[in-house]
Amino acid sequence: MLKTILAITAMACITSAAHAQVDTVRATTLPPAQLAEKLYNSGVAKYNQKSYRAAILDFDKALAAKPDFAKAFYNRATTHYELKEYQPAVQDYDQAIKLDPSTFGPYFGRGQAREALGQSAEAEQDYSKATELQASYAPSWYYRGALRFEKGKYQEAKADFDQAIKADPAYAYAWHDRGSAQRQLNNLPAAIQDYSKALSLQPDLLPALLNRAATKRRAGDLKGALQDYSDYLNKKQDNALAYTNRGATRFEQGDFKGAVEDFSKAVALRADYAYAWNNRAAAYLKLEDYAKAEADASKAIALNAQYAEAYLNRGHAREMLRHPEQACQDWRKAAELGLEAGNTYAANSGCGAD
Amino acid sequence: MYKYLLAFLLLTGAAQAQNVEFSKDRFGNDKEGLKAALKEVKAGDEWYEMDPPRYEQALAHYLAAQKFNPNNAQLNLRIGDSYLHSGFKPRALTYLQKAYQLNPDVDPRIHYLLGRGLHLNGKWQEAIAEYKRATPASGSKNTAAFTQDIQKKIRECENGQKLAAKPTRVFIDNAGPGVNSPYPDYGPVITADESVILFTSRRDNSTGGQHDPETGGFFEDIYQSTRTGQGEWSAARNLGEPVNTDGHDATVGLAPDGQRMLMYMEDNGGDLHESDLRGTQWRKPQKLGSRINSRAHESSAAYTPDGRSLFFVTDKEGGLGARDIYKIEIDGRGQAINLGPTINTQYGEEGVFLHPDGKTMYFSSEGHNSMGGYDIFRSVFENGKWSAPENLGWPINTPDDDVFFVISASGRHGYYSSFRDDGLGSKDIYQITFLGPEKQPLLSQEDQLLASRVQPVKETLLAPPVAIASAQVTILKGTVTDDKTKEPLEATIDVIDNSRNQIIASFRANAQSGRYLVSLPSGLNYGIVVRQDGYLFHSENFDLPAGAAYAEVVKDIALKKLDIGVKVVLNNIFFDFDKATLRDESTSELERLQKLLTETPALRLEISGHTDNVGNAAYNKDLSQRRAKAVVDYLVQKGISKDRLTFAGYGDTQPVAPNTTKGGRQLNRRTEFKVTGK
Repeated sequence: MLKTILAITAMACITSAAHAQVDTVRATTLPPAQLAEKLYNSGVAKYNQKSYRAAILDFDKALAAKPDFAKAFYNRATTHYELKEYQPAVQDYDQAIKLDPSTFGPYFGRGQAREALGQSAEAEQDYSKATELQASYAPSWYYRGALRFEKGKYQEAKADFDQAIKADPAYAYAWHDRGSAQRQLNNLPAAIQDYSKALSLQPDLLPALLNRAATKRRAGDLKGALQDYSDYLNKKQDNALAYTNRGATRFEQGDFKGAVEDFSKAVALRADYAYAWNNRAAAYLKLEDYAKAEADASKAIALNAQYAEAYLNRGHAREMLRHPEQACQDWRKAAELGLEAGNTYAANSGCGAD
Repeated sequence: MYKYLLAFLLLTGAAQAQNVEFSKDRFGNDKEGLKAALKEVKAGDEWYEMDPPRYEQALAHYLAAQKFNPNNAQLNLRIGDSYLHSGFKPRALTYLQKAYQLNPDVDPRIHYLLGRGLHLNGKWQEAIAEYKRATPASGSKNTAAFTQDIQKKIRECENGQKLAAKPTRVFIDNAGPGVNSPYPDYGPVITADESVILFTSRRDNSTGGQHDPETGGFFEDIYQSTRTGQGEWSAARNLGEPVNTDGHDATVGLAPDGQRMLMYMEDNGGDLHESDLRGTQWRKPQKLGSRINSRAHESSAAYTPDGRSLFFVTDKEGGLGARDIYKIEIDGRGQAINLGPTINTQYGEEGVFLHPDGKTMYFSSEGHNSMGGYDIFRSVFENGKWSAPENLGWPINTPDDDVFFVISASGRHGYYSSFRDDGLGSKDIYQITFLGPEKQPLLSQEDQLLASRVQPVKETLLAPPVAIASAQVTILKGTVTDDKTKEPLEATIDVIDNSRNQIIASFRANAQSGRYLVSLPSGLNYGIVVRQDGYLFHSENFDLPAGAAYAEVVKDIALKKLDIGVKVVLNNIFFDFDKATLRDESTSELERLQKLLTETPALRLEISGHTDNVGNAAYNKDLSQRRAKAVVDYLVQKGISKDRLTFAGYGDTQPVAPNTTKGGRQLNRRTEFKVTGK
């Protein structure tokens, strides 16, 4: 969603740069360069009417007339991007950069296309080049920050979001994602502040409520977390993740019945959401309803056969249901899938040798 | 509205309940019934008013009368009081409450009795309130003792409230019809591996078949059951004579290997006896000596795992309270030593048991933070002293007496006896399964942290793992046989501390089955030597670092007769890594070898070294040869003639196991000898 918004923002920058060329040349027989410019302008108009295929034909003709027309390559690239034709987009951006390496636009655009192709290292290089050429363009910083965040480089990501905010103090997404970087760096109060700022700039940025809730929870403010989850759920009732996370918070608060209600809503919305089934199993364990706990954990395992936590929880339920051998199998399976605690439980509960 | 109406009805109902006398006015239309009921009341009263009162017998009559007239305050009181003195004490409460409801002045002791009834039902707060209202009997001379008793009971309720708020996580299961009967079954004792259970029962095939004139019921006998492959207990069999006699014969303790048993008999004010197992037959019990038995009441005892000392309970004079726990060296000359005030209180201690780890003791006490009667406690002997006793908690302990508890070597199961509603009748034996601290469930959740992505970040909230509750002891068991004939051997098993070159304990395998069991607490490098006259010794090594977890190892051992060509592995000879220097821990094994050569002058041996197939073959051969030579040099230096000994290094050329596993390679790295002449 945001990607589309930004592509349009980027286009706005390009079109303003291209403004001078719009239809000022009038002649019946035009030299090739001027013919190219006319076709180019026609292409821009068609793009703005969202007639992307027709726009590409115009840019094709423009380039046939003037093969070193950097802006035509650039705009054709952007049109391909809009059509999700990322590989041709990258090729055209390559040409545009070759012809004019001094503008940041093609670098940013190629970064976006390469990101769409999953080439995040190359994309990061392109965003870097774009920030060098135009530090005041906030999205270059923002997208590089997001890539670095995904690589787990939270400190570097935070620095990029700082720059994005410096370039555009009203950039709600940058505030939001800086909040997430702060959270990953364990600067919880700073994270909560950033999420709040993002919400004040853009009240419909609801993920900020969920993330602020999760951060408050991590900071030990369960009450504040529940308030945020509830505010979110008052506005939006179709998100299984939100119910699941509120349920987990209620669980942490010791409200196991309330947790069961939330997990039940989550599985009603999304029957294939293994986390919600597993978590409801955990809550049933606390409520000492072991048969239901076993059934829910089994459901989670049916959805994800590699789900270590669900095996562990089912082991607990089966122990209390007096099926010690099945419990041992489940704990061992959990350990095999990486939860070392499973082996400890098996050893403590007198499971025989493998 | 409806609620109020209901409350009103209940209140008026309660107000209307009135004492109903066994009189003709009330029961004129059923004269026969009244007559029979009055007869039951009278019979009950006779038992109830005896000195000492015989509550169990009274109860049967009173309950018959109660069927005819359930609304007599005095009868309800006496049923309640009788239940308070029976096995099923919690049942007293409803009768006592009814007696009070019918007539608040039914008995001056009513608040005390209500306190008892509530206490025994775990209604701590209400019990405290009743105890506080209780007054000593009018004209009582000993009000100080009464006040002390009340204060102790209030403390017990306070303890109970705290302990019940954090229950111990256990399953408590009836040991089943193999062990339990409709008669009283109690006093379970087990082998360390829980394969055999011995217990006391007063069932109808008691030896002599007589009833005890004092308490009624059959005389006590000792019974045995073994665990079947399905984990059930086999049908118990009476041990018969000479263990069981016409009188009372009760289990008290069992050595971890099940070869020696401690018993209680009623002679001399109650004394301890001992029997040992020869093959399948228990020998005639022998009374323990006068350093242990006195004219006082000796009632419980346990062997230390090395079999050298005994912990026992006596009420002889000079203790800290009613009954105390003492320790004594069996073959020594010293007097029994009182375990001291950390363990023994001014109240009674009873039912001592020692875990095979040699340092954990379980016992029952009326003191410490008991929630009523005897509770079971645990204390650990560390750094020369006993730790503060820890109450095993609710629901193992109850407000009534909880005594004679034993636990398996693994620490996973405990056994004791109890009156419970799910029993087969009277007192039954129960198995406790310890579940350890609550196992925390794990939740999963994810957050979408980047506003521009729909790519979730997985997050897991992980609870810390619980400490390993299992005991740190290794159980080694198996059978000893003749290598050729496969006949079982009553061989001697020496347990040696290699670091000190000392024999810690010696055991004998069962004469008939050749079975043996030794428990090895973690923390030592053990040499195990199995020996029998006329056979070459067999050595095993168990290096159990401190903290090694519970394990059971089955090792069947075939002893070989001294013959030319016979090979014996010397598992307790240790060399420095990659060198041919003998380590100090080898001394015990080397001395054994020296002794063998000295005692058998014609014996000639080849000492050989062997390696696994890791590394350079030529190097391995050389190292193994140098190591074999080191052993020969040691023996020669100790005076064994050089011409009786040869040495050889075989490297990896004579493997005894595949080199493909770690265990196999370890078996192949060895020193052994071969008989070359005799």
